[in-house]
Amino acid sequence: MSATARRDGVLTDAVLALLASGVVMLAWEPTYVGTGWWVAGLSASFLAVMVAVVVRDAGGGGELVVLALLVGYLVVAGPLARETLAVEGWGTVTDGITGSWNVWHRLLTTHPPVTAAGPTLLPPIVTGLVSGGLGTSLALGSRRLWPPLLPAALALGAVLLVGQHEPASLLGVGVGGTAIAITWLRVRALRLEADETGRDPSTLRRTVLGAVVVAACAAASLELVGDPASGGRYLLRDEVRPQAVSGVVTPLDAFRDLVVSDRKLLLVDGLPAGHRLRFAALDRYDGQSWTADNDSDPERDDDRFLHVSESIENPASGPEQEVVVQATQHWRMPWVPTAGAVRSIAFQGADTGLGSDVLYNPATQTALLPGGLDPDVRYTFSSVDTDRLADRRVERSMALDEDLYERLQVLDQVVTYWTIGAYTPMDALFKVAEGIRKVGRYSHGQEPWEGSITAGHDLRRLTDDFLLSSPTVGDEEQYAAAMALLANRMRIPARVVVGAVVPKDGVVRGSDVSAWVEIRADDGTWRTIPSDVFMSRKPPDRLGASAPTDRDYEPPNDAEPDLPDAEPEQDDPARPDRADGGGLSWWVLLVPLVLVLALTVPAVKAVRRRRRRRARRVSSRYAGAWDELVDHGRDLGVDVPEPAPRPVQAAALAGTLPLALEADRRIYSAEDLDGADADAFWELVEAELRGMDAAVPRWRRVRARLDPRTLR
Amino acid sequence: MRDPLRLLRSLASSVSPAGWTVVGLGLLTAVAGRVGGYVELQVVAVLCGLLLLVSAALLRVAPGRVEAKLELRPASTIAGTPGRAVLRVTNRGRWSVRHPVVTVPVRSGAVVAERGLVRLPRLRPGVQHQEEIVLPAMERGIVQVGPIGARRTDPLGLFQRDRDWTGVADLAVRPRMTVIETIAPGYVPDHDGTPSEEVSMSDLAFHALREYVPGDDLRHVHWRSSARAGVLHVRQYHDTRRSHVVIVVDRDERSYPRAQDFELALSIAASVAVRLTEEGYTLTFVCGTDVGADSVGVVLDASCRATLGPDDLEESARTASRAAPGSSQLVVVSGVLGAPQRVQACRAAFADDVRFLGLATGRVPGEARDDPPRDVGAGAVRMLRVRRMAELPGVLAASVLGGGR
Repeated sequence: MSATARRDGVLTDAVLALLASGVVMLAWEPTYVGTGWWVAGLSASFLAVMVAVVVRDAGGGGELVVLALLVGYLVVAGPLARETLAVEGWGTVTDGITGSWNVWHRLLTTHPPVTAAGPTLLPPIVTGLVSGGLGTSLALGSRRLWPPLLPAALALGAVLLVGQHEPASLLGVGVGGTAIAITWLRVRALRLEADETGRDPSTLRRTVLGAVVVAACAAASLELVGDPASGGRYLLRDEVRPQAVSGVVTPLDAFRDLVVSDRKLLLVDGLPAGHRLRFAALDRYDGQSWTADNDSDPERDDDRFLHVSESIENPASGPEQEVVVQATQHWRMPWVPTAGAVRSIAFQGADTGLGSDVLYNPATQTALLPGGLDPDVRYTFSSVDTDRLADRRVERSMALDEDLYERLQVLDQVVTYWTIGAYTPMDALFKVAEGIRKVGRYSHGQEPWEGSITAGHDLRRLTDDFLLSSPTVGDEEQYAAAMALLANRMRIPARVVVGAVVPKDGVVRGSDVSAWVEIRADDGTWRTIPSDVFMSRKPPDRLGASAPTDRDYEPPNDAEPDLPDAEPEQDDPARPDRADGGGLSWWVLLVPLVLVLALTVPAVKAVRRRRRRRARRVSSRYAGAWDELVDHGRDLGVDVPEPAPRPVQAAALAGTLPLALEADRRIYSAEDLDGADADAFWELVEAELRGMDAAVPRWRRVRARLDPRTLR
Repeated sequence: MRDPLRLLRSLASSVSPAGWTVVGLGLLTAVAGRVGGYVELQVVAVLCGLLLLVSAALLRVAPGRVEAKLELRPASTIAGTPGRAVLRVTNRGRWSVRHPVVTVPVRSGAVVAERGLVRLPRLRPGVQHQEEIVLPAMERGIVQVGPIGARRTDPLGLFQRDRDWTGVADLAVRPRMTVIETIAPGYVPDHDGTPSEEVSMSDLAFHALREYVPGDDLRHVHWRSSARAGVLHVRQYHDTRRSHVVIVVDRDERSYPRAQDFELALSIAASVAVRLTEEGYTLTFVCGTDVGADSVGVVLDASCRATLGPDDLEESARTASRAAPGSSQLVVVSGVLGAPQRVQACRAAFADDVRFLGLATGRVPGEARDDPPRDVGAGAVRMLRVRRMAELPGVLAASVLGGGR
């Protein structure tokens, strides 16, 4: 091949490798927001392509390209993982390694879109390096057609596994990827053909025809494949277990304490009076209490408490409001109050780092800080108001938790009693709500004679001591919990939300705290049923309250009658761990790294020996055998002149002159060489190598194995 | 009825390496897209499938008709030198065939030694095109050239189909030969200078006389003798019946230390045959069952076909002596390991006054490379040793000077 043709070939391969890594970058699109990710990814692949071309041009093999790319990556990974350009010696490199390891887990436990900054840039960079650099290296190093496609295909597979539920772009990734693959195959096949038979003058015409065929088939395939939204994908983020939140103490458990103590809890600015602030939305009932949980929504994929980036994708229409909240020292819960569909949340001042710890669930629109919301922490969130009231005209959703429905058979008597004459399920719900309100009484159980009006909302408390007893006495905790259960039994999906109605001055006190019910409409949105709909404020008759109670089931989190010193919730053993799952300290990774580095050089030498022995041209095998001798001699410390004719080199290595002469004779002979003779020659050379090894002490032998001096 | 298995196999054999890669890509993405639910991969799989279908269909469309004829020019070549063939192609289809790639397989025995590739220019409909093809250098033997096949590929290069355009032509690859001076003293060099064919009235050149027969050329009348005899006498020069030489090559494996020595023997025989033909002799060539006579072309072609096998030298010699009763020279080429009795028997099949020249190829075991060779055989069947082609002229010259018998 002429020099220009070879250069053009290299250029074509490099450009196609860049395009292939562009397709892989495109697959990252649903995960990230902004421009940083594709800039970093494409720059990384461009640099990787340059490195591969340069190393291959200098005669290095694929292993040297991998080494160079690894070194380049480690240089960049450290500063990115630490998010500072200050280099701290070895610590930077180890931070880079651990950061590269942890960032994947971080990606899987963050709601998309992720802001591309700092360590989150590493995955696109890695995929860019692999698809661009390794692809170019394989394209330049192999004459076969398919090897260059392999790194890009593997990178694409990794991106799809780590990606999101919606596909990036069927046209870009699907059609574009295939088109690039076909083009690359065709270009390489044409190159091979041109080597054998000369260039085909009708290449242009065939290319145009081929492009037309590909375009037509692409349009047909896009039609055939159908709706991308149907069916679920296998994603790693579904396999990864998110942070457990069902053990977190809920405001409903601490409800009585909060309300009765009536302390100053939060300072809110920016939310008009009368709007509701949400503390927690509790959608799972296990018979003991309502808790929040991951994966409780059968219709959404993102119903988990995961990390968020600077902006949260929360589709909602309406004006955005910005609200500033400050917690006081009396707020002793990990829940982070928000309102509406939160678009972004940021912590002020010295607590900016908390922004990367906060967990948000877009399905329940509640947020949580695993380490607890410390006093005097100030945060700002911007959201769109999505509160809508439920009324009789709303159609209910069919996505019901069937398990819960099954367990609530005991409520049937209540439901059938109140729903006589109802037209629709929603009508029935409101009838039940009105019925309970009619017969119900309100009390926090503070008076000395109200000892039987206990806190808690387990099934026994809600049925025997509440709905099925007369009179029905409780506060928002029991009413909201019972109402939600009743709605679920009436096949309307419902959940309990604990929050507060913001007063005019923006200071939320315990007395503003309330609990209400949200039901799910058929369009997927949740509608509020305020507590006034199902709860009356009438205090109970004193006479009725003095009736003795037979059974008293203490719920596990029963609050003591006087509350100021009661802090059992703080030491809840189920409190989630602060550290992220999956974080390793760096020295664990150091051991395999050292091993890999130690084994690299002998492995490279072994590969090199194999390559020399199996060279395509037989004369190259002879040359390779002699080179092997010379390299081994130099590893053992003998000073062999290089470059020099083989007999001159043989003078430095005792007893190898016949081998040198034989090699010269074979390499420069005009006749065809036989592979079997070459193998015999290799046997002789290997015997000579063993002889050289036997003549030196053991430590010298080991040092020769590990010596990178002869790596070229 | 088309056998579906055969159809499948023919389809599978027409997939190019790029096509296999696309098949693999399609299968892989189909499985991954189905199992994992990835729509992009399903698109890739469907696209690959469609491309394969469309490409296969395009390949079958408009097959075109091409008439081709292959001529070997020359029809024989010498081992180690490339041969030449001429391919004449006419496009009888409606559309022009664009730059087809034509394969030229060269087969020796059952082994396809080489498959050359030639790209033809664009073949317009109805236009004839002539292409010269260089055939690779081969070893001695009869080599089949062809059938010439053309390869068609679809625009994307996923499928390729080979179709034969011509039949097979035989190329005779003759053994290597070298120029030698002379082999037999049967041609006595004229001490008076070069003999001339010119008729002269008073010359002393050897001739015979006979009576005039109507029709003889009057220029050849020998007047002096005619005057003396009273009847017209005509000069008659050299016997128009040329001298005949029989060349026998031993093809028994046991005579030769290596197979190359048999090739050397054939090369020697061919070189001698060529030289004798130039000097005006007629030849008979026998090697086992291959017999060639009269023209040098036939003799050389017979030498192409010769292979190692069982040989009864005596039988061959007897065949030859029957075929050429008036031969004046016998040349026997064998190997150093050949039994002298056989050569003896061969010699005995001819009359005693037939001159004998024996040549033996190969190295005697135990003999070093640079030692001077010792002749084998003794007496009447003494064989001259030739170990390399280059030695042949010298050995023959020495034997001529030494006076062969």
